[in-house]
Amino acid sequence: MCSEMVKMIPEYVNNELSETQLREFSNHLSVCSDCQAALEDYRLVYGKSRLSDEYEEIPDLVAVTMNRIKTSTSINEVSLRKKGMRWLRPVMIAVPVILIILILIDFLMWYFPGQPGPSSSTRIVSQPGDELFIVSPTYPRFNLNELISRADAIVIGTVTEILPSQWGTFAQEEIIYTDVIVEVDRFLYGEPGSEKIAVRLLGGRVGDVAVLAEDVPEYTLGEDVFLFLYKNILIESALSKEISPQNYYTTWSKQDKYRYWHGIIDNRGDNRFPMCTWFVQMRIAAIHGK
Amino acid sequence: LDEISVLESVRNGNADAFAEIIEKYQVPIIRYLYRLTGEWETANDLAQDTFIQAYRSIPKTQIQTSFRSWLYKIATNISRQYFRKYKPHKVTNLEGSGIESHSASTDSAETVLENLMIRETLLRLKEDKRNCLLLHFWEGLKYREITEILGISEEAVRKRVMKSCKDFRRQYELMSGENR
Repeated sequence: MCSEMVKMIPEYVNNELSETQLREFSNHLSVCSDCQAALEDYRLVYGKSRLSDEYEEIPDLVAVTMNRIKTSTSINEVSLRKKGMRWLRPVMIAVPVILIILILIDFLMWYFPGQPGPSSSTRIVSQPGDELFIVSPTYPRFNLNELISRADAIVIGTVTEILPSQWGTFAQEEIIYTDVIVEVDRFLYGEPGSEKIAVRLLGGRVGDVAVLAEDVPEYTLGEDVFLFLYKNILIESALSKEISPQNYYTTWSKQDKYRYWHGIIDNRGDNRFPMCTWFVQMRIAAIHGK
Repeated sequence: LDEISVLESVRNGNADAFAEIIEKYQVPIIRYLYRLTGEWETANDLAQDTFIQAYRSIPKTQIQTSFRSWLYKIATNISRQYFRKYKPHKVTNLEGSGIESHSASTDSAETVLENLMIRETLLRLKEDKRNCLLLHFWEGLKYREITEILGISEEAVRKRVMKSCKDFRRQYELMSGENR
């Protein structure tokens, strides 16, 4: 009952009640002290609001506000920008997030390559019953300038295939070798041949005979590599697949092969030359004049 | 002032048309914000922000209620942001709070004192209650319009108004006792 009556207080104070409502309200008011108190409170504030006035001179805001509006963007530009932002906002958030995730995955895969299986890597894993031969060819260590000077080609590419190891001849000795197919992304130096080159490596496994050549770099399927390449002149055997003879190279030692990641050369091996590709390119240009 | 045609003109890129809106509403909006914050300078700044916000919102807003209510809604939201950012009003002693400076006006000292007491009583109320009372009594808005501004139901507005009236009375009587 009271809540219904309290609703009528504003209309009662403003003389907006119908005769029936007024009678009903007055009857209730005469018996309800709560509603009487509520009406008194309401009337007090109502009365004070009519008395209240402020003396301060109100400044004219038109000029200053219009100036602020005009010096910011125009309404159409605001509107377009807001409309544009509606679809742009999720894209602006999603793109960097996706990029960061992709770069992180790429980096992790590059930094922590999985344990390669026999078909995905040139690594020799000794098995029971193997006839294992270890060869230890010794190569001198070269600095960056020497590596650049000596190499027949310097490339950046991706290991796309590791062919089954085969028997061949090395220094008139029978030896096992392995061909690694690299899809070349860039020739930093050398005559660009085909997009695919073969890197012939000493060592490998044929049946239960395994030859482990120490200091020969290991290659993993799918890895990006930075290579100092030399024309293959020592290991003689049948040529693999569709690669023409002039596109056969070799990397003799670990100092000839580096993992590569978006312009960064992983130089954590023996050669501590700067990691940036552009620096190596500058050295190549200085040494070979290109 | 034909608000509909002014708003249409603003929507069509005529920024100058908005000056008429400011001209019409600046005094009530500044007074409302002054009673909310207790500071003229702040009220002026917030009023400017209110009009700028309104100008920017016009193209993307279908104004459901009256333009006036919509403007109060923006002013209320801007004052809320202000209160979140800065400390609430500090209760001050009425002595020396401006009575002398107004003594030259036509109003008597008693009227000035009464006005100061009303202002101070309002400022002693909680922000949501002060809002409610100002919108209903000082700005003359109906419960239905306040519903849109404060985002609460009509029943909640009614209850809040009644509760705020009670609090106002208690505070006012306290103030009267202090200044007697």
